[in-house]
Amino acid sequence: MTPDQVVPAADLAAALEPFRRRALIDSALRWGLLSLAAWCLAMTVLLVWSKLSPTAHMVAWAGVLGALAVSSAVVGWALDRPGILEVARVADAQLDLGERLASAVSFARSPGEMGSRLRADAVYHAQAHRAGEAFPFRRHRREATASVVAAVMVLGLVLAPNPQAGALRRQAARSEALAQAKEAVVTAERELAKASSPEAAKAVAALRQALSRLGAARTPLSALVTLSELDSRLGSLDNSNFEAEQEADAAASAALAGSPGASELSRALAGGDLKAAATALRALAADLPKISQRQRKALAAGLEQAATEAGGRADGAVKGARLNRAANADAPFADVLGRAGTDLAAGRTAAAGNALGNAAAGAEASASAASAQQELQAVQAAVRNAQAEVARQAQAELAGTGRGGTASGAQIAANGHGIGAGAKSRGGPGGSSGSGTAAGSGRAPRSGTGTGSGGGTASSGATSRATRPRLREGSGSGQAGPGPSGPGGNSYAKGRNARSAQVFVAGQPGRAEQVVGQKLGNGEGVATTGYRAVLPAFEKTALQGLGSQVLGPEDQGLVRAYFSSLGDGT
Amino acid sequence: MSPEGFVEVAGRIEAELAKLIVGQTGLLRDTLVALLAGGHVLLEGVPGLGKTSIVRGLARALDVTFSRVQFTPDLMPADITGTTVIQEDERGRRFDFQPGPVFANLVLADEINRATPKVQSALLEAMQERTVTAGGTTRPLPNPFYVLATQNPIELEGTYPLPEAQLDRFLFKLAVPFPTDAELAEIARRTTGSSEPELVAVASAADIVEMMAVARSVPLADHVLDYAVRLVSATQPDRSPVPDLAGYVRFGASPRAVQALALASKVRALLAGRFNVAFEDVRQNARPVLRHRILLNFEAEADGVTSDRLVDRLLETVEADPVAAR
Repeated sequence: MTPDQVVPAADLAAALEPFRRRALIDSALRWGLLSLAAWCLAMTVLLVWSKLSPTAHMVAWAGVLGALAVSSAVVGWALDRPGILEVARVADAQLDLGERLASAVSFARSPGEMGSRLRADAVYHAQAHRAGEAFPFRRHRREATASVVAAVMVLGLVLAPNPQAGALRRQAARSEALAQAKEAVVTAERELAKASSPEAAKAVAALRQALSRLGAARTPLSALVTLSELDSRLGSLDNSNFEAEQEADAAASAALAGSPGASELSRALAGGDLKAAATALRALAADLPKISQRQRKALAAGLEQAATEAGGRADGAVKGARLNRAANADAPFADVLGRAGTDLAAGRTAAAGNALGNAAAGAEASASAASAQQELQAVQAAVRNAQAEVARQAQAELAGTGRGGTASGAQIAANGHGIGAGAKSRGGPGGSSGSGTAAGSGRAPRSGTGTGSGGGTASSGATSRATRPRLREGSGSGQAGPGPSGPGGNSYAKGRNARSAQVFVAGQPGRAEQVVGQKLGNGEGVATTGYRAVLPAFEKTALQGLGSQVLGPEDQGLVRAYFSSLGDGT
Repeated sequence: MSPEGFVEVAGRIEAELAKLIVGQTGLLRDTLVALLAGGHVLLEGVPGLGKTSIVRGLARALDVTFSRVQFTPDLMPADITGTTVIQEDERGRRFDFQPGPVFANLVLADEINRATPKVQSALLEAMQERTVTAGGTTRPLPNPFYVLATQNPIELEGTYPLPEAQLDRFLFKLAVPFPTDAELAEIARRTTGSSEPELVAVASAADIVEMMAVARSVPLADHVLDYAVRLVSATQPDRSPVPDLAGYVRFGASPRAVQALALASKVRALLAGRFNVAFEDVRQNARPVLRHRILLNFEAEADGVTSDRLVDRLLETVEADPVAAR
């Protein structure tokens, strides 16, 4: 027995303090190991799942699970922290102290000799041992083993190849493409919001509507449809014809180049700077009284020549465009210039000056309108770029999953390629010669929308069968490049169970109806239609289709040029 | 008396007993524990193992009054408790109570199961209340008062098994084991020589009473008491965690078992040099406290299951400290 001595409760608490601290560490270690094991098990399940199904953001998931495990461990430890009596009981058991410590804690404030002797005995035995002996880390061998086993499983699964890696990459690319498309539309909307023209306001409304739909889009296809429609709407707002206008300006500039006092005006028109042209016109009007008679005649001749040149170039589409707007409805720009030349030649300097002033005012208004149109075209170009990006993504997905759609330009005489749709459609026999690049799309009358892509080469009499996608039907676009000669083949798409009723690219009208389920033959006996009769319809269809096609601006230019060349040929 | 004095006196008693009794250290310790806890002891063993010698030696080692009663079938209750007799002297005739042998500090009830239940029951009041009621008068027994009874487990003919109520009043039931060969040889040497060992009294009745008070002051922590309670509770057939127990036990231990475990464990703690009761103290007392309080049924006897075996199963099954085991 230990010697008789008076031991206060405080001494007992001090003697047990190292045990208490060690017990807290011990408890933290236990909860840490348990949470690690739980995290590893959860990660094991997650990793197995990720190898069965594409699961993105694995690092984030691991972080979330880790945070859950850590917080659970902290909460568990906080709630499970051992009290001093529990610490003493564990120490008694571990050190074989015959319940001395726990009994002393239980009777820490017990008066009398026996209580004091008990505390002294407990303090003596507590000081004879280290806290680490009572709470050795090896106590948690089981938890540690479970954690190590679970960690090895996690490591093995992490190092094992993931069969879903390709799908994950595609998902990431898809998300990025969609995000880029949204960003492009947002940027365009922000840029156009500054403009004040009616076309800009309409364009902004279209962009906002498209943005809303893009927000709900989950696939490149749906984004593609939205962008195509947006492109179409933006295209309908664009009334300009800059190339023709520039030609007209250049012609007028050339005519005025040698005219006295009109060099500034000539340079401004040559550079397409209509504001400078307006300034030059006003300066010229102001200088008219100052110049000599001979110079007036020369200037009058130059103005009349410019009017003639500009009027000639401004035929057709140009007449309804900038130069017409430059003056007024009754007095086109060329006419105003001509009238100024005529007045000047007749010696009516004041009238000529007024006419030049009118021309200057018109040029300023035209400059403003041109600026708005340029902005609109810039936005349209951005939208088309985004459209092309999304289309590439859609194509890549289809190619990657082996669900390629059809090359709907099945009857194009030469190589046909591009992205198109028309799920479950099939090509038909080719029927003509020539070459070109084409893509087509079709919309079957059944429900649903799909897309596909593929390529095919068809020659006369050949049959091209495209891969059938799993979607029921689809829509898409095609583009036919300029061919060296003759019309290309038909490009069409149809549903498996229903006929396609729409022809997109130039060819032989009516063929689409014949190729369904039957051979075309050599063309003999087939009713034909005059080329001129069908061309405007095909051109209109193609141009309309451009708005919803997956084609870059350059390719769309090719389509326009192609039909232009057809028109020139006639 | 200090705890150290307690240990010293107890050591002297054990040393004196060891002069007479060869080996049987566990039995001697258990007997001393029961004595210092203030409880009665039932010694069970085949004839010749020294049951009576232990009690007689204890009586000689202690400076206390001792009486021995040989229980026989014709023994009457009054032969134990005493009786009222007519006394005649110069003041005339009167009834006087003549105390029986129970009026002693240490009573040896030899072969207690040979007496009839009527006689056995005569000890009930004495053992529990430590009083004797005769002729309408209740008389206290001397303090300390112990009944150390012996019984032979193999002779069934002409014996009367102790009633459960009587058994429950014994703090311990001790099984006297057969000595080892070496012990047998030593017994022969000691008892066949020219002189027999002489025992001297090393503790008085007052010492014993004081020691009993010291033992009762030993702290018993709640979690240790809880273990004793769970052990006793586990002897009940309807709440035992031991699957076998329910099929073999007719009645479990009474609440007196918890009291016996607590008291005996306190004594054992002091004897072990501790100032507190440990689980080990409870475990060491479990057999002597519970073996006669667990009443087995016919199936147990048929299967040869003993109460000791069931107690061992209890000790294996009931966890001492679930908190420390985490």
